[in-house]
Amino acid sequence: MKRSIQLTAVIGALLLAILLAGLALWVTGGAAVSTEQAVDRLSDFYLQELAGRRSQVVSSMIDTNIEQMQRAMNAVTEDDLASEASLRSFIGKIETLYDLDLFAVVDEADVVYCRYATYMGGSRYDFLSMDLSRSGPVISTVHQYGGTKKICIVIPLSGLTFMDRELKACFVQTDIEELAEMLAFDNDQNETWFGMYYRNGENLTHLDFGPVGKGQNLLEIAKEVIPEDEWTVLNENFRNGMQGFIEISFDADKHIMYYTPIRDTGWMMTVLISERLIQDQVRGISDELIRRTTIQFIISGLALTLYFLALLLESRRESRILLEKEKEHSKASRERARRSESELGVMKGIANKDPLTGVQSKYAYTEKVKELDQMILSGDDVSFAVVIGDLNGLKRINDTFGHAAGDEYLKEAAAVLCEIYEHSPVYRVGGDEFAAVLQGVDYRNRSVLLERLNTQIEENARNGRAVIATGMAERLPEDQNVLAVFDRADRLMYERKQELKASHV
Amino acid sequence: MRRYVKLVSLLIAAVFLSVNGYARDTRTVKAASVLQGDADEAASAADETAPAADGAVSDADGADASKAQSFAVNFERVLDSYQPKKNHYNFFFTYKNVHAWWDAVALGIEEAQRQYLARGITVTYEYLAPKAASVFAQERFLRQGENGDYDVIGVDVADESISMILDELSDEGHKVMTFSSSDAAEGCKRIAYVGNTHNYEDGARITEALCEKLGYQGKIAVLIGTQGAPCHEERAQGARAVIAKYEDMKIVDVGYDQDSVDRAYKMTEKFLKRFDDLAGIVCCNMSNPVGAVRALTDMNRNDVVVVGMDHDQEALQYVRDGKIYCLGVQDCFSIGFDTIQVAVRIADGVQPGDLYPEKTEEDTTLIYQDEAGKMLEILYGEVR
Repeated sequence: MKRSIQLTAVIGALLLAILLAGLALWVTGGAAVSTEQAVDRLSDFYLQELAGRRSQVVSSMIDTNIEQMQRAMNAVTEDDLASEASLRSFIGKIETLYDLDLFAVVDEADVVYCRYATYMGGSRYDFLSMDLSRSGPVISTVHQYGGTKKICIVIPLSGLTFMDRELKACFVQTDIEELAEMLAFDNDQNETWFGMYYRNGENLTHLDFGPVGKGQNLLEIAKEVIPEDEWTVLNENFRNGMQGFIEISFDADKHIMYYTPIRDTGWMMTVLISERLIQDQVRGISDELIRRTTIQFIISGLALTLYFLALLLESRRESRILLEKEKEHSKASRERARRSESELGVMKGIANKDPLTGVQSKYAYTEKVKELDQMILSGDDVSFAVVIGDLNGLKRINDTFGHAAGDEYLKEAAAVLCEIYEHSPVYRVGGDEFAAVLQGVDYRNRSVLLERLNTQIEENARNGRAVIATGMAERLPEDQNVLAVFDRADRLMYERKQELKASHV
Repeated sequence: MRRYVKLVSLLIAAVFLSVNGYARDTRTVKAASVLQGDADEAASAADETAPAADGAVSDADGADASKAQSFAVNFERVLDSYQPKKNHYNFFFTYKNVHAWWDAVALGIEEAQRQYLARGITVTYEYLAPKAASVFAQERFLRQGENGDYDVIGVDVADESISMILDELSDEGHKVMTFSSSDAAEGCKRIAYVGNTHNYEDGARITEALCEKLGYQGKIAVLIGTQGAPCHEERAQGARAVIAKYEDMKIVDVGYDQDSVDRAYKMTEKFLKRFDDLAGIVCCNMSNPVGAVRALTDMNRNDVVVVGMDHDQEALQYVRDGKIYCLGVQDCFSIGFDTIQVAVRIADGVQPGDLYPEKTEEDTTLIYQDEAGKMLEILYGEVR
């Protein structure tokens, strides 16, 4: 029973240990996968936030400029349009009022009127090749020296004339680099970059976009480092002004790029992040989680080990105690058995002995007869003789001298028999009858011993002492039991009794 | 034994609860901090105002350094130490025709104007041209200048015949200068010229390079821009002079594209139809080489060697790609910048001499394939 509990405890401990180890692997493995997923999701969310906010800033700036130009042109008067000087003055006021880099109006001959200059815009501004009368606001760029560009936010005009020419548009020109620098990240760690690109992948700004240099075409660079099918999607999304994510690896350094169109511009806002940045953050958390989970499992494992060790030790201790108890119980049982046996022996002794005379009892004689009968029945060659003795005159002594004298008379008779048959058991088989079973030396000397007994009896008879009439018979081969021998000895004893009565009474 | 079991069970539960609780809290805090950091940073970016206005331009001591020429085009120009006599100047400039080349000149003019403004000197100007080059159109613009109140009238001469009008304007008391690519005729009363003074040499240099490339043999065609435009014609003369030196070379055809890429394309097609064994084309203006290479590419005639002028982005890409052998790139930016500096002096009544030359010469640099990428980056920020 106890062994079964121990075995169960050990198997249970092993199963729990395996379960814990499995859980540890599952949790740590799961943590790694979760980390990757978290990195992806956080990167996506992070990039969308970054790009969305910056895109909003650009859109807000454009909306503000459009609104300012609309207000300005609503406020222009005939006096403002009376001469080039008055127009320049008006333009100067608007620039100052709205803190604009450059505000200009364009007439139908593509002559551009600015605060300080009047120049031909046809070859300089792409938007002048458009039919502005049919369009809303136009967002365009103009190349400057050194490859820099400026943003032109254009609104078409109608109903205004200057120097006999219709004014077709006005525009605000903003330094794209100033805007880009305002939107750029504090990029000390070189892990997050912002960019604005034309839909053909050409950079609008003079900013590096991570590993993509400022003068490089983003789509051309991407084509070299991403699979063709992914590049096709990227290219299509750029051309169609669709937002999306893409993973780009530069020199085995994985980056995630998010791109989204900037409203009404035809440009793409791009944000690139080195996955290291997010990974460092998330992995820090994950590593801590894994570390603590590991500690948790180690502590749990140790605790369980201790638990089952304690269980095992306790079980063994209880087993020992039980064993001790069983030993004690067994010992007590043995003691009790021993005592019982002893008591039985005493009882047997009491039962086998005649208390008055000290010779064997009638019970002992019966036991002896059973033993001999069993031997005869088994076919053993058993040689023995039975001597029967009957005490004469006992009733007379009891009646005359009392039972105490009678008892003494019996004791004397028993002592005579025991003295003659000193190697054989003597039994008191009745009130005044005795028997002796002769075997061994007494059997071989039975005749001499009987002669000696008879001599003693005769002498006792002469001295007034105990007189015992005896008869002896040997077991004959045809005798099948002791009783047959006994009967012959008993008949001989009666014959002798008669003889004794005849000679002494 | 029950005591042991309870104790260990409590211990395990405590470990689980504490670890998971910590991890959840840490995740929340750190993820939030990442986003919060970005939100702050983005908000900060949105709140930022535009950078301060441009700082002061270098002082007079930096003037000498301003002449330090960067590669082919110097964008780092700084006004020299001349102290203008007035606080306001008003100029009238007219040039041959509306074209990107003069937009590049305009950038130099705008930079000088900006630097003067930073010094508290206002420079206003007209910078006008007809859509197509013509003597009549230029005269019309000059009459516009004549009627205005301008300190100086500047002209990029479309045709030498314009010189007569310039003399007329000078006689009327207008201060007249020439600038950009073409000077007036010899003896014109204009005060000074700023720009390319070596168009003939430029034509000769690109043609010499072509001849060397062809091993001094083969049939050559010459593409010219505007008929009568001194700069274009002088370059063509330079080309003719060089070709004439070599017995095995011959100019077989000449065409004018009127500063139109499409016309240059058609002229090139015509050359090749007439002379299937044409070996090279000398291009004398900005539109010539672009139209020529487009036509050659479409006709699959990459064997024809092309040399040309100016800094058109497409033409520079052809140089980089080996489709044009070389280009003569003028420093348009400096032409514009120096035009304003000279115009201010002229307006102040300063005659050519110690303070400025009668002809301010601007450099032309031959750009070959190995330098085209650098040029594209300098001019257009284009990097491969």
